[in-house]
Amino acid sequence: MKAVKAGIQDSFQDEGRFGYAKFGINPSGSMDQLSMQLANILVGNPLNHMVLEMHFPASILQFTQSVIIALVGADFGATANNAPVPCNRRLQLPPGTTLRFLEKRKGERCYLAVYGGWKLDKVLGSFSTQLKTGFGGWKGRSLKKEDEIPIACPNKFNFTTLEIASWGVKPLSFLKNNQPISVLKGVDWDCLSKEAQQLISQTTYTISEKSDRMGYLLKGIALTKVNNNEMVSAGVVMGTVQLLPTGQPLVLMADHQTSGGYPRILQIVAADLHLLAQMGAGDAFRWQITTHDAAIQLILHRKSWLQKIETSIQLLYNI
Amino acid sequence: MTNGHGDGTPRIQFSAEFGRQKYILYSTLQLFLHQKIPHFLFFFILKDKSIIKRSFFPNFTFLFSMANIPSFPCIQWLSEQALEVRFGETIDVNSNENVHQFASSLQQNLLHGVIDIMPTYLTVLVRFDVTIISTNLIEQWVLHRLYNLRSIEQSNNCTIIQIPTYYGVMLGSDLPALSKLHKISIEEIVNLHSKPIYKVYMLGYLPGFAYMGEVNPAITFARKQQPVPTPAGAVAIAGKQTGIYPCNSPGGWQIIGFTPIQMFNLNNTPCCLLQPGDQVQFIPIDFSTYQHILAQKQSYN
Repeated sequence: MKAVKAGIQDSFQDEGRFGYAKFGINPSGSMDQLSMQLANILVGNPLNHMVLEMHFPASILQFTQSVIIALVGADFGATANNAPVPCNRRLQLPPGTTLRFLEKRKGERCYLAVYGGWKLDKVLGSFSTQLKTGFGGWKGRSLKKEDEIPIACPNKFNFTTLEIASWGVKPLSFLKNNQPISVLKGVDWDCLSKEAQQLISQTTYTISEKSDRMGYLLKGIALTKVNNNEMVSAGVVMGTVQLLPTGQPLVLMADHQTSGGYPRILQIVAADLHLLAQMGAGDAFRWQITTHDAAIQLILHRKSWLQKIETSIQLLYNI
Repeated sequence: MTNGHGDGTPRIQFSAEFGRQKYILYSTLQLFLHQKIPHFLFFFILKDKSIIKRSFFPNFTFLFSMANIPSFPCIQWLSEQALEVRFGETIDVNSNENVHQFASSLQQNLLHGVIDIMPTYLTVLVRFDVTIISTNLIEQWVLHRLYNLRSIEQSNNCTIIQIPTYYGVMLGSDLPALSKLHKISIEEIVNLHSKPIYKVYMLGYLPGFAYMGEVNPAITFARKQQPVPTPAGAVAIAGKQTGIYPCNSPGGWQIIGFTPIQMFNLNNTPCCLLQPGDQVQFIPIDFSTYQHILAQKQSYN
């Protein structure tokens, strides 16, 4: 696969690099894990195989060999050799196909999965790119112009024409009208004043311009604390919402640091992180506080649902 | 699962919301750990939680609320798949030592489904996959490990990792400015910084960045107002802590020296030179030694 032109931030990610938090190495990984998993299922890869996470404007990619691919997540108006191709479907590409992404229609991150993935080296057990320090994935960075990344299973297929599967998955990573993001009360929930605690479920927050893979800074009503005691740095995970001294919430995303000293007032449920991953500057949403049990049920339900889809597709294609 | 999470507030600590079972379980653990009850009683309750439901213990809750139960260690839930064990509220060497003992204990008795264990100043974060292992099992495992913590002897870790450090002015440190501002000679700063043996509290901020303490009160320099580009190998101070930048990065800590050795190297196992709980000492070297070690390292690469 060749990057004819580089996108703004296209990097290889998988589910993340776990087991090294004590060294200050945070997991990285895909922002929208559900889209990554669906893309992998569509092409016949293991659930958490490496994918290319693309932001808009995305790279222009050329495949020298025949490949099976899928694009899941944001809709960037993809074309293959200038013919429009849909997201969320399995695509068979003939050799020499060029993928272009013409317009940002919906969402923030599009995931490209290729059957078999690319020939990359695992670093500390994962293919995810650690963009800040520069290791993992493809040379520890986003794609640059003229990058040629070898595919793991070249010459496996020999398609002569572009084939688009007649079926696909539904786009699931977008908030429906007025759908709230489920959150749990954070470890430091008691740091919030009573007014702030009530305000959280009633008010809407907007994602500010200062939002990226590290975290989303939110704009909205400032939240007040009960006291101004300094917190000692403790562990955080993706989805932890910290309260900054200005009263603004900061939602930690995939490239967050392993620890933080700001109060951890909320925790976004794991099952809703993918929704947030497809939101960008200007998007607004509200919170809904839920219980640990409900959050766990969402995870378990999602896992069994994914397994069902995976099995059906495997049966369909005899993979 | 019978859970005391109630409406979801994760801080499990003597709150009526949590239900008697969890309350009594954790209270018993803390009484035991602080040696206020014999171990057979704790084990008995841990093993047979139904004892709590039986009617002839109606005032257990009341009894516990009368006792002066210590606050730590306590268990909190960061997320539905991350549990945090807290050993104190303010940074102190004893609590941090407990953190490291406990983290090693978990690491040595790992359960399938646990994906990460992270020690910080006062807490140990345990991340797990709830599709592989349930929260109940994780909780029980953590409680058992806490119980066993009492019988672990203080490991007298004699190995001190030495960091050769060039404290001079050839590489552009903040020493001259600091010396002038705080009216303390550069020699004295170097002396006070290189004498003590520091403890690595935790790693964070960057891969391989170790937070070490405690720095002598005379040289607890405050952070810079704005971060500036800080080179790899910079030895720095911020407040009571000292640290070494493992790579080029914006940084707000006051740079007082430079080390030629690498803090973070993916070709090594482990990839970081310093780990939480290690003991560290800074050894002053001169500029030519600094250059020599640097050159050796580069030719080796």
